[in-house]
Amino acid sequence: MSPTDKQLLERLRMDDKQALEEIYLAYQHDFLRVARKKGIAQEDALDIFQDVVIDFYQQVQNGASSINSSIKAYLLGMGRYKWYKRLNQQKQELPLVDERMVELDTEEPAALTQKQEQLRTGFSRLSPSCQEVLRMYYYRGLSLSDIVEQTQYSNTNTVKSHKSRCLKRLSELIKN
Amino acid sequence: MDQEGRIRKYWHGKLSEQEGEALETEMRFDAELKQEVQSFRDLQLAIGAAERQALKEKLSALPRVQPRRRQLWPLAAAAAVLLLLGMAWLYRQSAVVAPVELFASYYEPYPNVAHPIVRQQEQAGQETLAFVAYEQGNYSEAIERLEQLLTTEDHPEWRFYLAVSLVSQGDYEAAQVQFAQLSDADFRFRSPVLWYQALLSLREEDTATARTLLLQLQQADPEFEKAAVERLLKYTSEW
Repeated sequence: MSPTDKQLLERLRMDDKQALEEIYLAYQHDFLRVARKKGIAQEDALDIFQDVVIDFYQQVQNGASSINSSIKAYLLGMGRYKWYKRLNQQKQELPLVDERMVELDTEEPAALTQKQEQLRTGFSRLSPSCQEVLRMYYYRGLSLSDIVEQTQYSNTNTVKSHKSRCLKRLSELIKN
Repeated sequence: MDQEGRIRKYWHGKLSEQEGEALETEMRFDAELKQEVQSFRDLQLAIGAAERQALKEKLSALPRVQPRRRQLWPLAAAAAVLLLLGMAWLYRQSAVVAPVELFASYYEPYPNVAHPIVRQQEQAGQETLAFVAYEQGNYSEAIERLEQLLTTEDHPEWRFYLAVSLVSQGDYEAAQVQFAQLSDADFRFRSPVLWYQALLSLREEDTATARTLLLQLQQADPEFEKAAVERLLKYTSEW
């Protein structure tokens, strides 16, 4: 992996969304070019590429991704998998996995349960500060002390009490 | 470690295998704990889905990357360089041939200004016969008569016309020998001597000598064949 890729990965782990945009813009053309060669409509290919980049981002954020190849190769591999999966869903018989996909973490996000869907809706209606603290704790898996380090909170008790208020507010939104 | 911290680490893969198994065992006997673990997971997935939606909107709003146009200017620059090199090569190739051709382009026999011929001259002397032959382009006869004259007297003007006749006849080496004997700075045909020597040097592709002679000529007699001398000086300077 190149030094540039390593830097990008580190920035993704630190939740740097600018790095996400850089990756998206840097590899979009190559991805679409490969897709065009495979006869994939460009709009479909772009939709797949966006999903691939988001999957990649979330995997890196959750520490679930271990990449040995370049980011570009990883994205192309994930894209190939997603495309084959989409075709299979359209009942076309195509091999889903080949040797180039061994490294890939191809776990697809599961469909949300009714309760999870309610939480998602409620979460999107929370204040930005509530969204951020809940996101850091539940989604990124940061400890209270990690959150203090990365934010303006003065101590873990402040984070803890703010998180509790946000959860209470989320619960109220769901009930309503 | 507090219970919520354990659950967070459990879902983020930060518990050891033993710790994870211990928590799963506890969940089997503790419904409240099981509910807490599931609630954490529900919120984790819900936030993940919200995040995903936000990112999708964010990426969709970014400009579509246009295919990179192939940068043509490096190719154009390379082509221009190759073209220039090619032209330089051709020019040089033509220049290699040119010295010999230059001689043919510039050489003209010097007019007879030494011994004007009076028409219907009844008793022509040897000198007259020599210059009549010269003016008629009968260079072999002119050479023969001039050489004979030179045996009687070392006359520079006879030698000059002998040299020119030799050049016109194609006997360049013999001509060079004769011109080389006309090095007197006060000789009235000194300028044409330098000019012919320069042309003969060009013919032999000795451009350095030709240039030296042309510079001498230009310095001694700036008006003699002025344009031709300047052209040849420019030409020889490029070598």
